Amino acid sequence: MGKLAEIVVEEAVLERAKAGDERAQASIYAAVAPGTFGLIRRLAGNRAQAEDLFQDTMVSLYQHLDQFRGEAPLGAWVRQIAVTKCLMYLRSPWRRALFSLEAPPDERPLLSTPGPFAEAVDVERALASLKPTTRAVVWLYEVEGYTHEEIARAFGRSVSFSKSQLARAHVRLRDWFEPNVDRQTCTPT
Amino acid sequence: MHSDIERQAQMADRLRKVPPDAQPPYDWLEYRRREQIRAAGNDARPNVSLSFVAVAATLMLLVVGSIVLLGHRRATHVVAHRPPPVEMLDSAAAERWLSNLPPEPVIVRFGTRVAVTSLEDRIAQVDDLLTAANFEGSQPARIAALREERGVLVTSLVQVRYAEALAANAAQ
Repeated sequence: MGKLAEIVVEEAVLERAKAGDERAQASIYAAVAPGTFGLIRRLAGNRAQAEDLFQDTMVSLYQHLDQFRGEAPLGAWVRQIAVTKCLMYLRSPWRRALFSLEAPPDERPLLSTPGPFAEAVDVERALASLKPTTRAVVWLYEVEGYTHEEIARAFGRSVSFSKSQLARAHVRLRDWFEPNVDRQTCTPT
Repeated sequence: MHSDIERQAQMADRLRKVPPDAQPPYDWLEYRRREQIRAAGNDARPNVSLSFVAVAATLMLLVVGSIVLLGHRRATHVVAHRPPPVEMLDSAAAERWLSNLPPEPVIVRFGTRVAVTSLEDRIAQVDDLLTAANFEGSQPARIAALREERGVLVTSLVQVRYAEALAANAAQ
């Protein structure tokens, strides 16, 4: 399946779903649920919380489906709902207090055998080592294609906030994948 | 300078290669079931306000009763769950021990709860990876590494839960 924002659902299916046809609603669920949960899982980090946010997102999707005008793919609309829910969660003061108490994640990759699966596992672990806000910014910018202006608006912060979070994420990810590069550069000759 | 930009582009490529989808936690039927329960809960709210005083009084009675009863049961709780064997290197044995524990401790400590939920999350994450590894027929060494990591996490969870049980015992 492709990216969530590119998922298009047939007009007829949408109309039936809006009218309450459960089969049409189920087919929309089948189309968007994997991409939605994948996105939420990466933004929220915590699986239990991701499940709650996923449920909230799907409920909002069906509650407001009649407001979807079809100007963009349905997946892009669902993505917007999911991102909004996740950012509300990341911005909540309670959640931010909890982040500071959580133990730091492992610093080193577990698997080093080359191959696409190992690469994906390593990237997941590298992402998990980032702070939640930093991870959300790098994912939205690099993978979902958000601009710095869009990220700043979504977080209610400045454009420089988005840029600095992205730069921090890149430094941290580079340290993860190339742990010796910077040290070698800094070693006096 | 150029190498920095190139490295940043390489990192972005790495991120974009990660599969965007994840197995949803449940299917459509389960979603509908949960959504109906939630909707039923929302519908019930106006009625709750009508009988708020009666419900509050009942809850107070239940809470007071629970405190008295749980205070009595706590001693038997901790005694009933023997400490994990010292030689508990076997993840299956650790999980059996965990499954015999009550789902929630009598006294919940915030810091410990964070550690428990964090470990449970990481175990769930490794489970996801194991499922994917088995599904894709990955190398046995990779699966073994994931199993090993899972074992370490489960053992850590056992230690935290056991410390929690001891703390509950000491607080009596």
